[in-house]
Amino acid sequence: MHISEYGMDSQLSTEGDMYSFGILLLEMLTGIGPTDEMFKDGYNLHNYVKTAFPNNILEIVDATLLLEEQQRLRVI
Amino acid sequence: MYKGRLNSEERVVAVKVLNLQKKGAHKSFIAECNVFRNIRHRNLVKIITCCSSVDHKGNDFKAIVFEYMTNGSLEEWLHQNAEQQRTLKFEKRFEIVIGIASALQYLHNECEKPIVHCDLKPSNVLLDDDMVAHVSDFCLARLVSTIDGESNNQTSSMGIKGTKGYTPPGMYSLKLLL
Repeated sequence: MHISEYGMDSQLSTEGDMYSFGILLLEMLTGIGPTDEMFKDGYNLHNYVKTAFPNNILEIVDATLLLEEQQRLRVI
Repeated sequence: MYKGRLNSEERVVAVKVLNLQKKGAHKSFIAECNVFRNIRHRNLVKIITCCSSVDHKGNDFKAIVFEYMTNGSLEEWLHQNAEQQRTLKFEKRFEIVIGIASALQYLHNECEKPIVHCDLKPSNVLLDDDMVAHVSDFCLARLVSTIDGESNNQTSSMGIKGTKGYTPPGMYSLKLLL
């Protein structure tokens, strides 16, 4: 992960942390980080999740989570 | 980062030695010490001690000693190599997220002065023996002087550098820090 070279002068607040927390949440569900190479030219983790939510959510959920669910169903 | 052992206690520790050649290293050492002086929470890494001294060559030496987290970072768990067979189940992920959220709740709302972490991302979330999440790396953290989002002159004039992808888009102002 690269530290960005950009700075900011805007006011510091706890909201920035909440933004990062939101990104982290999406990353934990999809297994894809915001700096993945598929995200470029304005396409980002938000759009990626937004287009699939809520009807095609299974298409974007981390495959390892689905695998786990399938194995559980097989046992039942 | 170095892994070490405290002889007196047979305890494994993580030692963060600051690269003082790097611009802002002194400032981030002070920032991290200031934050750790007053905080204690189940979901934050625990600091054991810090050290500001000179090494055998007479150069400045600054280091912070933390509790060692055996299960590495959340980043390693989410983006593992194919040969590693470990995965995080949904329930575990849920617990980790709750842990991070309660650390943020503590930093933002329960400390005497709210603390903004400024660089929250999976590589800064460490996991202990029981896979409990501990938020780490406070070298970019800032104490906010007032709760209503107004920061004092000192903090607002500093350039805050987070990590691309995790920092709000508004924070990337047009000004490049050269």
